[in-house]
Amino acid sequence: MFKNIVTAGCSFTNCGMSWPYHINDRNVHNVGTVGAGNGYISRAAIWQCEELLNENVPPEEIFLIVMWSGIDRFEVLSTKDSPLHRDYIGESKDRWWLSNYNQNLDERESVWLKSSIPDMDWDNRAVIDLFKQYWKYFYTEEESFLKTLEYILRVQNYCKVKNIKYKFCCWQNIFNKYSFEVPSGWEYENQELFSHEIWTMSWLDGQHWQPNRFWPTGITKKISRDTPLLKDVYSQTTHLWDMVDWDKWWFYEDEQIEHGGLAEWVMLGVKHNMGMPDDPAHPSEESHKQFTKDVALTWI
Amino acid sequence: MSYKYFVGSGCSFSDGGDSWIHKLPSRIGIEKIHNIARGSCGNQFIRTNLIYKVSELLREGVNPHDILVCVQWTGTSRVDMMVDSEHVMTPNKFNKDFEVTNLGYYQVNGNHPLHEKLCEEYNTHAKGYIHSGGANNWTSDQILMNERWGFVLDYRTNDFQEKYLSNYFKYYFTEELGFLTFLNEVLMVQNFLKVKEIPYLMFCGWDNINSYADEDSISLLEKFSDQRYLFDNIDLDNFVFVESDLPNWVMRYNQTIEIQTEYGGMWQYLCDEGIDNPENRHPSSKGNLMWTEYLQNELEKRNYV
Repeated sequence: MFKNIVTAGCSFTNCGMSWPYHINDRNVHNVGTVGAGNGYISRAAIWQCEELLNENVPPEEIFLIVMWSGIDRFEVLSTKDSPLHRDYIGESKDRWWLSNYNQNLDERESVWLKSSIPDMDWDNRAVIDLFKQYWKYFYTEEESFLKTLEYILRVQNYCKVKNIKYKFCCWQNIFNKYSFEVPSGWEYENQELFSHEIWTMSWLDGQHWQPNRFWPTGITKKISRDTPLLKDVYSQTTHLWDMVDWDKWWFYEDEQIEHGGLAEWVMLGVKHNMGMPDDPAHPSEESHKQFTKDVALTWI
Repeated sequence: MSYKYFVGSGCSFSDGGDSWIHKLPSRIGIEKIHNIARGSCGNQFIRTNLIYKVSELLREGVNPHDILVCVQWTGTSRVDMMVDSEHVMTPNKFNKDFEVTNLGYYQVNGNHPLHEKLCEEYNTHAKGYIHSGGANNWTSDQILMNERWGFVLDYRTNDFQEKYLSNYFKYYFTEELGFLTFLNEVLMVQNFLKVKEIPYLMFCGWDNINSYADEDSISLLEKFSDQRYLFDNIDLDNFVFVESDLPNWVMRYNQTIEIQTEYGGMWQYLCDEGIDNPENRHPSSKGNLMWTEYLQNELEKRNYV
């Protein structure tokens, strides 16, 4: 019996009543945070496990679940020595771009700045500029994918050395090179969509949110299924891919999808409507609840 | 215990045909040497290239117990970045803009027939890693305030790569991030090797933990105490530290201050032994020999051999 469940991830793991909040009768330590990339996720997961071990919780009573996020995200550690630190921490109301997994830390001293998805329109000009420059001058998909595999291995090997049981999954497919061309008859017809744009479903109607954003039954073409794996596209990553213990992963898969995550499970697995009126880009509370019941609870 | 393969890594303290990496294996009965140290590289590249090389050996069917890994970690403020000819700003000038190192980089002894060929290859790749270099643990913003530590003095040129990295240092890098990244790289290699059951020994080129520069310095471990939990996870049985009263980058003959550190590295040892190199502050041939003997002694004391 795992008394302590550590969960880590991005907003798919901690935004409203996400799946960890439907795990009952256990001590759930959720270090997921909005906009997190896989570097932050790996650090937060290890930090939380270390906290429990330092409180003398036996490793056999800990179960770690990581829902990995997009490979193109990253974080910058801003400290009081950074030239624009005061601009980054700002004074606006919802400062979603800031996070410290160790919540005892004072953000005026140091805090992680989270990029979220490329071109995320955070309510802070200095932060937007910082990430825009990074994507333009420093980002490559290959290095980003390589780093994601390294973060995965960092947590995997940490768990093995510490004898902590774990399960990994992802918010959506992050391992294949794929896109989706919107068929005729829909608002964004003939447009090529990538990554989360596919699963927010706004291509159906072009609106902020609609209550009938179900995956159309007539669209049965392959999406990520049989598409190239990024590890084959980027040869510098192959040796890392080979070291990942894939037996510890959960994927949603069907005739259209391989290496799918929560988003594919919601849209094509249980065929739910994506989003809510006040949060169109994330699974609904009902979807999260069912994911916990049907999937996450089977791991622990 | 005996080993068949020696994998040694580090920065310019360990590269070159005269390195301890080429001297140590024969003293402990190892024939096959992989020197993957790279001058000017940072800890990220040391970790990445090491895992690449070791996993290549494992893929070839080498028994993990036949491999001995020795890692020399470098300064905490160094940065390695992957660059790609498709992403640079100046068309058709990738190899002029950047001097790249490819994953899998290795060195051979200067007399080896492959030596010249490998040297020629450095600037012909379409992608790879660039390295900030720099010989210390301090960041650019500190240096701009206090130039005496010399980081930017060596660094301020009109070269495109250096400007590129200077921008990165200014906006994306902090001293705490450098320290945290160093600890994470150590743990990543440590846990990788433990899971693969490969014996290893690590040490630092100089003091990365206290990183004292003068009597007013605060230990990095104390300054960034929130990262202490990472340091506590380092297996000290597999780490060689040198007790010394020498701050980083001071040589014994011009020592004016004494500050005790229990986390000294190769630099402290060589200066304490009087084998420093005033020419360029890198280990001399004699220094490499002395360090080899010291490591051999540590390996024997710790029952590696």
